[in-house]
Amino acid sequence: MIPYVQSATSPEAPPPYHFPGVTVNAFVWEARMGPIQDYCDRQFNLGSLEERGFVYRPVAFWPYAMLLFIDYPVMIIADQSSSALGGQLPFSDRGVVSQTEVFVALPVARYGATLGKLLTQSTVETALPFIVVGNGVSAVCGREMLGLEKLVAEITTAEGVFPDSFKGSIRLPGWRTWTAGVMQEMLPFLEVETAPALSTFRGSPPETSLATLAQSREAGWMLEEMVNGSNFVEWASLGLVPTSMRTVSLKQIRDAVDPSKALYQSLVTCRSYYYDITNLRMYNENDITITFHDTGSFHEVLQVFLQLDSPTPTGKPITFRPKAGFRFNADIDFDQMRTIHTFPVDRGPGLPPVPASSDLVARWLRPLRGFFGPVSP
Amino acid sequence: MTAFVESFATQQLLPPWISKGAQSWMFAVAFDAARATAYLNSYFNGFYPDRAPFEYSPIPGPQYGLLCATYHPDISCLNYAHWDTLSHTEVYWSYPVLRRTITEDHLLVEPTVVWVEPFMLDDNPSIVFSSREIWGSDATLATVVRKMGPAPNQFHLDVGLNAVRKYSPRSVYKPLAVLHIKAEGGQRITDVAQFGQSRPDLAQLVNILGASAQFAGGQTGGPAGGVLLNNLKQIRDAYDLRAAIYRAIVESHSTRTDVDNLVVYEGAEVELDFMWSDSLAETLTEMFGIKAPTAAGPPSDHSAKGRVGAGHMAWDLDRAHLPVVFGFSFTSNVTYEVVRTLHTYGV
Repeated sequence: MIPYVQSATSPEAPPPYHFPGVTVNAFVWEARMGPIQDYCDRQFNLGSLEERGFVYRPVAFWPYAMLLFIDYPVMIIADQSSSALGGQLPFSDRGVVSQTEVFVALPVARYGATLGKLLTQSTVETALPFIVVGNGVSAVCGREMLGLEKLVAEITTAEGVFPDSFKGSIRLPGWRTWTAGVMQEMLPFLEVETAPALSTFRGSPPETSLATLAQSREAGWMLEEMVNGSNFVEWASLGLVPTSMRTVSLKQIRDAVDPSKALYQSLVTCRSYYYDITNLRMYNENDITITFHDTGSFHEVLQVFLQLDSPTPTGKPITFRPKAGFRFNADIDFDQMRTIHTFPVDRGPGLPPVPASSDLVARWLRPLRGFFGPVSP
Repeated sequence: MTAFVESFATQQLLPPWISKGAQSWMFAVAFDAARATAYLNSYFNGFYPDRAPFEYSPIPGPQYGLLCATYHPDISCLNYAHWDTLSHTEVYWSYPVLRRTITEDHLLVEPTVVWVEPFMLDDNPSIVFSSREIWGSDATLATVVRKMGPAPNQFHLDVGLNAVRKYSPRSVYKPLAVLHIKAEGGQRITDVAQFGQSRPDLAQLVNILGASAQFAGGQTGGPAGGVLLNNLKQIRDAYDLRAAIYRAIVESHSTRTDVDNLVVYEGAEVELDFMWSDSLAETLTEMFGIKAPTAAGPPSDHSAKGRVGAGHMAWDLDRAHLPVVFGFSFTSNVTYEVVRTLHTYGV
């Protein structure tokens, strides 16, 4: 093992984390399968199918993108070990961080390339082509440890004009045009605004929303119990029914001398486990406005999850209404970080190539494999 | 070699890069050789599990480092057509050390003066990511407030970090002031040699600075030496977060050209105060040997402004004053390139 030297100046704290009392505002819209497949091919399906033995595809039965604004009032580092700090006070006893995170989640399915692997290695995970945070240390942790594509942004969340509504916005460093010498600047990336959560006398008539189906006290209670129960389902089904969010990301290291080359490429997964879900409230989707700004350097990521007609940036805002919007409170545990596949990498002269390696066994099979020993499909 | 997969999140500054019209302020600080030895042993000289074929040690004689602030108003890649042009301000602690190659029969040969950079604070996240992920600087995102006063050579810089005053499971990280630098007075000089002769106690540092063109008064045009910087680039494993999946010593080279507007500050003309909090205490002890605040409350510029000043950082903290031997400022164009990866561990 090569030890990592933890610097006192840059206190990036390793997971696991515990996030109590989180507020989630979520918005769902239809996404095109083609661009998501292109994203999977670029980020996850590196090399040949024979070589890697699996393929990532968009999930055809759930062709939706989900935008989440997550307010973390308290982020607790759950690692109590002090060994990383040379015996000094462990991260868990140093303090807590609060921040807001925003991401777009796309469900993707991993299929094994052979019949055996199809049965034992197929699973559903979540790709995050866009993820921003307000805290620089959080961005560094996500990027370096897990390969998440985190950026630092100015994020605001608040009630909108009316009580019990939601308003969120993101400003990001970006470039207006692909022209030499154009300076990076803070640019508007996204705005979201809703009417008050249902039921409300404001906005469109409530009966115009499909969400009214879930607005009775009994239905709301039932939905909360269903989500909480789903975590039990995951445990009881040995992971056959995916309930918590497992992200997959491409973790890479650039060569310092030739930054267009990679020294390391792997797929990393981790789990966000939602529980104690309460206060589930729906927004009338007819009163939700989502606006992305198709500006210069932002176009690349927008084309992954929006239905863009232009192959180049238009410089104009794209406004639409989602299929659904809702909010809830929950506790979240962030854990189970794993490298599931290391791609073979040619590191150039003087260094041996990185060989391919895999640990792709589907979640449902893991306990059985642990009990009976490895299987070779 | 295998191609790196570019994405929206890797729109970043790639080396080699050029910074046009950079403004630098550098303040020489004396420190204990034991601090340098401890840092070098921890970052460069250990077995991880193999040992790099280099021995890093402090330069013989008194130790001086530079606490530097550089504003880069226009920085961009030299070789790549990319989303790259940006501006930022960096603050870093750097000092020269001696690197010797260890031969197969354990001789120490080829002594070379290289610089190390134990910490760097920067106000642009794109630069923080590039620095950490490509050339291995230990960079942290910070708030930097830089002001020029109305009089000539007046300089004031404040830095804030998300930090806590006292470690406790219930402490909440908030923007706290960590560094205050103020310099005024100063004198424009054109003859570095004369300045060096007037300060024989600093002859070694002035010679190193002169050779690296960090202190080349009045010189314009072509490069003169430049600075060799050695960084430890390391990336954590995703499963065992105490382990690195990659660890290497990266050597880069920066060259300053068109050096102009050289101003020298006497130590007494410079206020350099670190604001004391538990978050910063470990760094101050490790780097400078400071174990407690040396003065109560914030510097006078911030005490009258209440709890929160420019940059929305809290200033109601005690401070640790760091004596400055001398300071200097100048403008230049900076070219930066990664020369080579000196050693990759675990191969």
